[in-house]
Amino acid sequence: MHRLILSLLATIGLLTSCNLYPGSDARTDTLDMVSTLYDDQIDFKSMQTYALYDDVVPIVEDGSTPNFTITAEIKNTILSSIEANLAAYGWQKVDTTDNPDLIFGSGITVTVNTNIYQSFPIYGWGYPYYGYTVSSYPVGNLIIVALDHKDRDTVTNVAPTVWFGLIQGPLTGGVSDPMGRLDRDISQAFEQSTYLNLNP
Amino acid sequence: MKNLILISAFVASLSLKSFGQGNEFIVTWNFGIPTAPLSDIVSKTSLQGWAFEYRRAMTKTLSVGGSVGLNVFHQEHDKYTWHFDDFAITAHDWRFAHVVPLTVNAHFNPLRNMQTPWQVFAGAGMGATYVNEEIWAGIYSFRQEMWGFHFYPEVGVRYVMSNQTALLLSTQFMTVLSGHYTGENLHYWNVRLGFSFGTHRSE
Repeated sequence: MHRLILSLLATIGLLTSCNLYPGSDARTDTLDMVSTLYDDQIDFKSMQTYALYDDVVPIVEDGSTPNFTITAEIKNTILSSIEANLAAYGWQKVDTTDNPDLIFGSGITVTVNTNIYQSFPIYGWGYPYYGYTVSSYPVGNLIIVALDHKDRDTVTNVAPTVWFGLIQGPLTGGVSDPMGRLDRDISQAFEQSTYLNLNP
Repeated sequence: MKNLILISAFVASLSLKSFGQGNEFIVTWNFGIPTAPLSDIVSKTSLQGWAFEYRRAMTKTLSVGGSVGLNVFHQEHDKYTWHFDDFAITAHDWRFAHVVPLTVNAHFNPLRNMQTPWQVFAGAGMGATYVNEEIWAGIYSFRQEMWGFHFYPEVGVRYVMSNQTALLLSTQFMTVLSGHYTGENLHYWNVRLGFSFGTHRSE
């Protein structure tokens, strides 16, 4: 009887003591987030062609220099992934001079996420106070936009954005295949944008 | 959490008193089965729950008491996409709901005055509940915690092994008013399996 009771208590204690929160063993790339936004008034299926701006620009404040480097490998991975996903959706790539329906462009910026944890009250000499733990880490942000070239203002040459993709992920820890991670996330952006699929 | 431990210790300490006429101390392993709207966040059954309960017989068949418990609902998605009107978000997510009910209850056990090992009982409880709902998605987390009023009906069966010990299996349907982050009432089935220590047959 005592053995059964102890077993029950041990089971309860074991199950309820399990730490279910993502801890330090969570892989960096599992924290990636892919967001997409589009103009639902646009009929993408009436379009066919796109042009792709052949550079990935660093996005920084006016006048400042970026504190990160976009290597040729990163640039090639991003551009080829965008191309491959659009080709799979039936889009035809043309030059900007061929009056495409859409123009795709991409850019990267790095931000810093700061977490502030308030701990339980600390009782020492004098009035109790709350302790705080502050941690921060860099986050990479890849932005992909699609501009409606045929709806541009012919005077200012400004075209409206009809599709926007944002890929965010922490730039900490060792990722075994960073280019594969980029490609997967870009593919996810198109996978959740089925309205871009021109195939019947 | 510190308050929860203190309350649990208090309830557990009641068991240290001798089991006089009609006193009962119950410890259970709880399984939580979420229903809407809680299942919109976590649809997976929780195996991580427990409760400590004390009952005192007021008559041969009626008892009143109190309990403290915990249910931890948890679910993880490798990749989950939220679709809204014109935008979508995909991330690896972890979802949690912690429910800590503090309850006063009453139970009716019609077979307690009979020499039968199987005793069915029915009851109800109400009290205050702490609810913490969290979603961790990518590098972001969202959290909502609140205190609310809860109530439940309960039916169960007890297998009396001796005058002082019994196995217990029961089901409650928990309702926490405005316990969900949307403001809706939070519901779940709470299946309890455990041991009861005390007087299980009336004199």
